Amino acid sequence: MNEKRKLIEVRNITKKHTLKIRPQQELWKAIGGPFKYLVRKDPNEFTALDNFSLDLYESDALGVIGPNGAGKSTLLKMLAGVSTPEEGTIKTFGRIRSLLELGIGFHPELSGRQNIYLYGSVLGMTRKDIDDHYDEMVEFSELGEFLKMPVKNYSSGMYARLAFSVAIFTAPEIILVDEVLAVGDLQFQEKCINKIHQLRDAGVTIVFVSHGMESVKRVCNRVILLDKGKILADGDPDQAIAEYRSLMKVGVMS
Amino acid sequence: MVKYLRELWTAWFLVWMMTMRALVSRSRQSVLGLAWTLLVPISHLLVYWLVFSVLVRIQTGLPYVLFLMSGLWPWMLYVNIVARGTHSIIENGPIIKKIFFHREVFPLTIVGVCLFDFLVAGLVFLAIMTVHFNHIVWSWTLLWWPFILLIMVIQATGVIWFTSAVSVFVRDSIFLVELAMHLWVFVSPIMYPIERVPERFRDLYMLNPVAPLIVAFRQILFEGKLDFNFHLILSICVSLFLFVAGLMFFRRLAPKFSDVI
Repeated sequence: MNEKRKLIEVRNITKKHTLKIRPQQELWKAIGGPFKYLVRKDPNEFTALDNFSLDLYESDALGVIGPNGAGKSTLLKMLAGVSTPEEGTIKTFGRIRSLLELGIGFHPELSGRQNIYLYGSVLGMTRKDIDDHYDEMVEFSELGEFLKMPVKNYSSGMYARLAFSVAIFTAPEIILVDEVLAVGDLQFQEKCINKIHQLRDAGVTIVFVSHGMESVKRVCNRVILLDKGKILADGDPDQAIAEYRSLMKVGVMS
Repeated sequence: MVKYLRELWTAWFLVWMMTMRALVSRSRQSVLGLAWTLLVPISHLLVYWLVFSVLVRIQTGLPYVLFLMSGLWPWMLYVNIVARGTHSIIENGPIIKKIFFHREVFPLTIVGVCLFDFLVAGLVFLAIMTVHFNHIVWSWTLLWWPFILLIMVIQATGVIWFTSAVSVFVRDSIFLVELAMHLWVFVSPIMYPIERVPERFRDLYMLNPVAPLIVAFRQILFEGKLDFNFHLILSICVSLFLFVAGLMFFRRLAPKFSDVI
């Protein structure tokens, strides 16, 4: 029925976090096999994501909203492959670019130009990929001559410009965005949102975590509201946001 | 398996970039920069020479500096890889928590950096070799030298697959490695020839997987032969085993790094 290509398939994932990491126990757990019998139950454990499922198709733009500690970042991390669920499966079909934190892997002493190559390689590009997109990245960043400077002399806005420009031209199929649009001036933010729209129209899937309801409304065509690892609302952005607002009010009152 | 190898292949560019990053940051943030890479081996050499050639006279049948450097040079590569590689995952915590790529990149980057240091330190060895030109047997056997070095790098990498992964969970492995590295040099034939080890202990002594490799380096350089005896073959097998088992172990623990680090 649905002819769109499925890009993300999440099935019944559960992720538990602990308030207090017990190193040895974690080690036994990680090695597994006979060692798992050495693992004792953790009294400080809480569930960050509880039996969570999700399907995303091409051109979907999913907004994830919810109070702090709802499991939003946990979800993004697992989609990005940084973290793994205890139960359930995550399948992704396509190149993922996670903009969980812009410019991670940048080196302050290297020039903007050198950092384009460094960051590009961290994001999973080959030298050829970067060569091919280099001019677009430079143009989008509008940094011009500054690219010769070491990035330690950049303002935080310039830093974000450079990082975003690299990340966005890495031929992504799935983009995970976590609050990163808040940096940069209005003109650049506008440019980024336009670029994201453009990518979406070209079939890229976007998962967008934000506390800025305005940008969620502008970017997303579907929003899920998370609280304590469970989905409270899923679907129309306006409805989900309204529900989030009422949830927050109840939280304050009680 | 094939997919994994292909992914690792594409990660080479990343290893290369990360190595460059590490080298540049070190040279820009220190006054002496590259000179440190030379100063460390030279100062080691001086101290050992003072102790074992001037204070305690060890008979090696060779100029002591030449004898020492032939073992010390590769040994320092080994120590550097193991000591620094053990930290490689913890050091990169911020990246590991935010971005996914094969975690194998971090230990491999350390291997890259240490190989660079090794090549620079080679200048010292080259200088010593030029002075004592006639003590070296110039033959085709010298071509085995890079092979033994490769085994040594494989072994060191095998060790850090284990230690770097475990240290994320329990920091004990860092202290253990530091201690082991301080002691290990004394139970390896770096500063003294293997002949100084009493005959009846020698078989036991050679079970140290580094010892047969050091002996092999000297055989190649000074005797123009390479004796593939039981101990050398055992050491090669141990190296390959450590590497493969270590990699499997590392890959098993890698998905958990970001939760614990």
